[in-house]
Amino acid sequence: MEQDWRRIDVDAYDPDQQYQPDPIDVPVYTLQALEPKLQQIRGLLSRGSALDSLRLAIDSPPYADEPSVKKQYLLGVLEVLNNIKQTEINGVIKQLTLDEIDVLIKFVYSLMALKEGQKSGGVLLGWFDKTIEAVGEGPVVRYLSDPLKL
Amino acid sequence: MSQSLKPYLTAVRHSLNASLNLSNFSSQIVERHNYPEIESKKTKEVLLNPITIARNENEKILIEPSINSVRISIKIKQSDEIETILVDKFTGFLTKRAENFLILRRVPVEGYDISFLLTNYHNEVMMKNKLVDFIIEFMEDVDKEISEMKLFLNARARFVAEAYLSVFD
Repeated sequence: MEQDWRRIDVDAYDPDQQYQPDPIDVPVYTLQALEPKLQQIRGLLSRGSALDSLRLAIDSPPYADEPSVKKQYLLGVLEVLNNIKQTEINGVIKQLTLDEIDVLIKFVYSLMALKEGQKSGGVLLGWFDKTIEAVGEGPVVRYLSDPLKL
Repeated sequence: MSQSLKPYLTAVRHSLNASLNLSNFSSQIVERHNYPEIESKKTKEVLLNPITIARNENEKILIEPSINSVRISIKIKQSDEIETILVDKFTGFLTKRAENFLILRRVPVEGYDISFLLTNYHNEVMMKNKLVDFIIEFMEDVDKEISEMKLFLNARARFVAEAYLSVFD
């Protein structure tokens, strides 16, 4: 029984008014399917090819998944970003295409919203600043209206 | 520690520059009304993705943009109880005079210490780069002010304690 029937938001139940966001045409991965990819990313990182591991992580992130799956993926990306040295960052950024940089900025923002990412705030801020210096504020503007969220 | 301050502030500056592109948007729900969409949140299409920028777990900024308004919430560093009380009093002092501030929100967003609400009308009256400069300066100065207040508080407390307890010596 609703106690406060005067404050029911009637518009929310109106069938014509329901806001339907556009469907996202991205494949849904499960955590098991992502495990081999995350292992591969870690493997490439330990072998020293930081650029390749970052490229693989940027390749097709799980946009349409559960938040828990996305979090695991983001933690994997955080490992990669943490392990690339400060001096190498500029080199890596020069070799990424603009689309890849958009996804990189998306990773940085999503990581800063997580507790684990906030712990390595300095590293993430370093990545963010060097990228924006190189490329401009375009990726930020594109992030604001991006329907594919991590 | 202050090594990460400059990247933090430039990150906030870039994000604010990108989010402060505001244009007038009349309410689609009520005729002749004009709401800051980030506050009313009735029209989902005009809300943009929120941005969190964190220097560490205790200092972060949440920028919630929309088509005609941006809400900026700041969490100020509070390392002990005294600083918590000082920040509380300081932000309370500012928010009680929010009308004079124009862009200040009277109540901070849940989880943060102080919030600003910038609308397209503010953008028309004030220059965008100056608004961004103001927010960045505010962030820098608030930290300095809180440490200054804490130092003065400790100095005063020591003086008072000496004066009072010297009688019993």
